[in-house]
Amino acid sequence: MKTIFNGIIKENPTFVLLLGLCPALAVTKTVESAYLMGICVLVILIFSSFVISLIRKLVTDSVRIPVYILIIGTFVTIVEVLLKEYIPNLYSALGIYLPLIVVNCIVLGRAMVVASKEKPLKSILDAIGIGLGFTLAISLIALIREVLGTNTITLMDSISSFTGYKAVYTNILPNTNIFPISIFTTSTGAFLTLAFLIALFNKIKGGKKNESN
Amino acid sequence: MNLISLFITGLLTSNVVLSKFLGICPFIGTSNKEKNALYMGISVTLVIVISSIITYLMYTYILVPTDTVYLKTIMFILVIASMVQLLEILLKRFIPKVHKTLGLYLPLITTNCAVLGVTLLNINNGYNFYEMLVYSISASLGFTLVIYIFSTIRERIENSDIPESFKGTPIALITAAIMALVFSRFTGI
Amino acid sequence: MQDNIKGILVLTITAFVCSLLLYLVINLVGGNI
Repeated sequence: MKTIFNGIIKENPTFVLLLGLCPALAVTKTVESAYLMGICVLVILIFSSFVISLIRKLVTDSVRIPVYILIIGTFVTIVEVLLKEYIPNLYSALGIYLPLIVVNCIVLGRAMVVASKEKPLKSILDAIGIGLGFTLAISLIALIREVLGTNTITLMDSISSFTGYKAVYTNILPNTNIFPISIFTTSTGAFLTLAFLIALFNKIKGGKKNESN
Repeated sequence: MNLISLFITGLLTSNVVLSKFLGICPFIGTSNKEKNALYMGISVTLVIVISSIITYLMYTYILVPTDTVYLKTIMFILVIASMVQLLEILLKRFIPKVHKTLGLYLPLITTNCAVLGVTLLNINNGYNFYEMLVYSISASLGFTLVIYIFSTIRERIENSDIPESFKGTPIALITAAIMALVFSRFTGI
Repeated sequence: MQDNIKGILVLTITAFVCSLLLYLVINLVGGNI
């Protein structure tokens, strides 16, 4: 259990380890695409960490990278294929960022650091923690970007044909002349949001360190 | 599509880093020294262009005819990994100084989203051979341009007063935000 | 040398298993990708 919380707070991939920033900025225009991307990463993390952990004793150093890439790539491709067939809306919403999960530093990094050294159970727990941490982090970024940028919160739109349910909320903020600040939908806004969130995280961490001294 | 406008698009208006968010990880990591950034940029350019050519040919002449398009992702990344490995060996042999400067960051080019991203974009955007060449060159030059400008700005920032929690990554991202703003104005061309 | 051979063996087997897995999944989904 502690392992899972580790992945969410202490070693949060987005705000602390600073990994996987590419999708963190790219798919956070709506809350929906963010948490769905997070779930994809979570699934791929769990499966690849599990397999890699299983064969960790068999893989020699020289072939480590290609083998891990093969395994991760296979799972990514499986997810790609399944999505393309069953939830094409999501597939096109995520675009090239879906196959890019293969080179997502989180997945490969965790494989190198954790899965190749720990037992399968611990690796899975770590994967769940990191995956959840990532999902929560980018959902937060998306929440801020979407609310401030387009004054909406999209929870279920692209996949509504799959789940038969729609959830789009508009007009969250009071109708003033300031909002919505459309800059948040642009890349500039993405960088800014991430910057401030990391700074905030740093501040909270710094405060905690001072407390324990 | 007009090749020249494609070039400008790849380089400026749809800049891989500032507009497509590819290559952010090494961006934050290697851009603190001017020279490092330049070497990194050139290495990435080489890898992207050569990988683009190889993957494009693989896709067109092997994957499509045999109906194994789903192997695209895996095949591309393996090609890229091999190219990076090759580059590392060549550098170590012929220009050991650069190899030493780049150090650990060289193998990291494999996981650079920009490399795989550009090779995938070549296919997704349906480019023909020449468009693929132009785009991969302009996109990678765009990456180099941005990472270089970034490193020069960063070197200056390191000498000024920054609040504790903003040090390092946050201030880097804010810089990126401003650069993104500037680059986004290029859409008028 | 022993190590390298073992490594290449693992790599080949992994590649084989992965391709098999993908092939199965593709056909499961209707073989039309």
